[in-house]
Amino acid sequence: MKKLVLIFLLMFLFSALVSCKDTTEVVNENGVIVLNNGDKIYKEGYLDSATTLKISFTEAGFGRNWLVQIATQFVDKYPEYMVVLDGDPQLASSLATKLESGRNLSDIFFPLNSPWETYAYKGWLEPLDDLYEMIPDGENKTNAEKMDEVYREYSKLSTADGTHYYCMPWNDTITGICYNYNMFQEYGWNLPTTTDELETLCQKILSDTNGKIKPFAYPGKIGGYFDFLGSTWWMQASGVDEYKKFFDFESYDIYNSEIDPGRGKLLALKEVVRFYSMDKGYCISGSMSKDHITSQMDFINSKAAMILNANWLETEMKDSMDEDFVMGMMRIPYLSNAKKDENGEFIKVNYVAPPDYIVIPKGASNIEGAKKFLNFMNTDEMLLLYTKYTGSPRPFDYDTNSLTDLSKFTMDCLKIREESNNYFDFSRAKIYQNGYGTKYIGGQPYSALIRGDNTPERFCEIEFFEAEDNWSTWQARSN
Amino acid sequence: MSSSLVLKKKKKITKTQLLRAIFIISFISIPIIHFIIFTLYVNADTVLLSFERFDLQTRKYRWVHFENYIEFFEGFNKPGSVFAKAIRNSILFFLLNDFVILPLSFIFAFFMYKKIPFANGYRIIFYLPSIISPVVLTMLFSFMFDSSIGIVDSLLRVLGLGAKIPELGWFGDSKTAMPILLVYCVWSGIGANIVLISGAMSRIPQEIIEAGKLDGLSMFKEMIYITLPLTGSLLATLWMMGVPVIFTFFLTPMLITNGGPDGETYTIAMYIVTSIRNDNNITMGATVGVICAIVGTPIVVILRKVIDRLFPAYEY
Repeated sequence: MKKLVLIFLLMFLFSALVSCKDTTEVVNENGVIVLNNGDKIYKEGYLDSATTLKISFTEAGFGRNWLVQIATQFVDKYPEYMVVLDGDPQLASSLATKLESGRNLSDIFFPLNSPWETYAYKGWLEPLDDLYEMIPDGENKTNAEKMDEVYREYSKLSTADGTHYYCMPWNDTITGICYNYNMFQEYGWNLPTTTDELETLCQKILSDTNGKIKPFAYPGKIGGYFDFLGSTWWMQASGVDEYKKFFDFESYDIYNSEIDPGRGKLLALKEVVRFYSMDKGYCISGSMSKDHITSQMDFINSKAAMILNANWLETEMKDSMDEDFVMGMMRIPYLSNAKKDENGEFIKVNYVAPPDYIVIPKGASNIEGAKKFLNFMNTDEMLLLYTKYTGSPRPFDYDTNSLTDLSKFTMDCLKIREESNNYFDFSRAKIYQNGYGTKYIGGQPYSALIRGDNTPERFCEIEFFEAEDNWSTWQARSN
Repeated sequence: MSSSLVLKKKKKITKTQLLRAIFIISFISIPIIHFIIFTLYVNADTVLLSFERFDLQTRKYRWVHFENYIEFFEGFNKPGSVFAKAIRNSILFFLLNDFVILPLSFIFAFFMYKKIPFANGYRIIFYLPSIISPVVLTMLFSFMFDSSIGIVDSLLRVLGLGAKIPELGWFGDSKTAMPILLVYCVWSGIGANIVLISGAMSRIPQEIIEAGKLDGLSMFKEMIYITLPLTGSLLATLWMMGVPVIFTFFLTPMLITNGGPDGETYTIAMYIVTSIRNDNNITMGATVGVICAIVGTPIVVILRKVIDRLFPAYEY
């Protein structure tokens, strides 16, 4: 018996090892060969002469198909290059070590959000000023002109080498409330425009389904998602300009909840508690211990009608969704006391999550090719291709209306982006860069607020006292 | 006279002796170089880093005296500080490891050694968690407690105990998150110890036990008076190996609870890891490391002496 089990296990091991050697080769109509979905992408006949361009990217929610497609088009146009793709879901965590060691570096890195400023300060990144001044083929605007202003500001940094652009934005984010479109149609629920309407909707969802379907699913284990909501409401309440002022960190008064921007923060936190506190019963029980995947599974399994998320949700969950599952994205409803524009309309804002970016390491062996590739990626054609394959835009000026086969979810996301003032928080203030001044002193408050361990008023009060007490010390230590 | 003697001695070094000396030195040099680089250099650099801070503009570390240490102790009173919880939890994990998991492992190993029915089956069941990747194991464990797909909640509901399920989820409630992590540690940590202790038990000479049985030795007495002392040196080693848990344990809470809710399941090592990995604050990580070494070294030395006295090594 033991021998039989042993033989079986050996056979299993052997077949597993043999299957590891399997290679796939796809040749397109222009003679571009894609080996193993991106291990090597090169034009037929150029394998020996082509210069290798190695690209490391975060292989996460958007997968790799978009990059395979862009790389295929790139080598078709520039056959002197062979692209090698290296997907790594944890690239952001390992990037600092790779850059510091300087060995076996890729020519381009696509990490998720991580402190690229530190890498630039340490002299590990190639300045991209010339890339910003390049004009994508067949167009008339430079990359800098084509890029959204907030990203252009974000990418510029003063280091010991002078003031330069050090990164290129990768993906743009649209945050909001994703909803189960079919469910909304079936029960006749309308999309809310204000938070009061949202509360009415939550109660209606509970009553219409006898509590079987909860209004919200959320991933409590990963608190960052709450900040999509909190920051949007904060921007609505304070206005984008006041919200931006917070990140100048000019005095401790930014934490004062009696005046903006602190006042807006307090209003936003109160509103989060209004919908997510336990006693309301609007959320799936046990959500505080769920991660993003399990809570998203709750949503696509119709256990909740809505989930706080962003434009990557549909692509991320595509393989787990039923074919007839249709999701939509609604704009985060307006606070009743949100700021209004000159026409008396509530201001439309989109809180962009801290951005994912692209960098070229200083020690890359093919900097010229890397810049050529990134310039190629910014052509309208490739930007559209990116949106087509990911359902997500890049923060550049290009018209997505020509894309015809987009899902409802993607169209909703693009509409929100188009109509909004898109902003994300970053700061070049020394007090912030040295880790003393933070968006929320002591970390994000959402979990404690939802559990009832803290109140918005108390949190803001403690923040203000802490900042007032320590401001001069923080300033001294930051200089 | 004496100089000629030295000359004579020098002449006596043959080529074989020289090669032998080179051979020995080359082998000794490996651990010495390893020690110099990975122990001496790394630790000296860590101590130095704890007195420095990276200056973003000059790209150099600058000397800040005890500023990192001051900031560390100030941090205890900061809003949202998790360090006090991290210390408490690290000590709890150590106590669990040395006072619960190890004794339980010894007891289970003893019963398997005594060939209770299905002993080999139990051995596989206990050892299985030790050979599965911690990432997979923690994921499976998390799924067990998930409110939508987990078996635990379903079972409790079937048993009419649905009201006992925490509204925030097992890992989201500060009252249940830490105890469940401790349960996980027992489940996953017991197997490897059992294998090691069983191995030591199988080496105990049967004559001793047989002689004892002639004198009416019961199974309980055999465990306490024969098996325990004769496996004592291994148990002492395992016990000592549990002490560094205070300063090194972080993977399990990071994977299962991510330190939450609100830092309730943080450990000292996790604090260091997040300081370096998320906040990119290498110098604070080094400072905490040095403080841990200062606190931990005397504890380890004293415990070593106590353990050596309690469990002397027997030759058999």
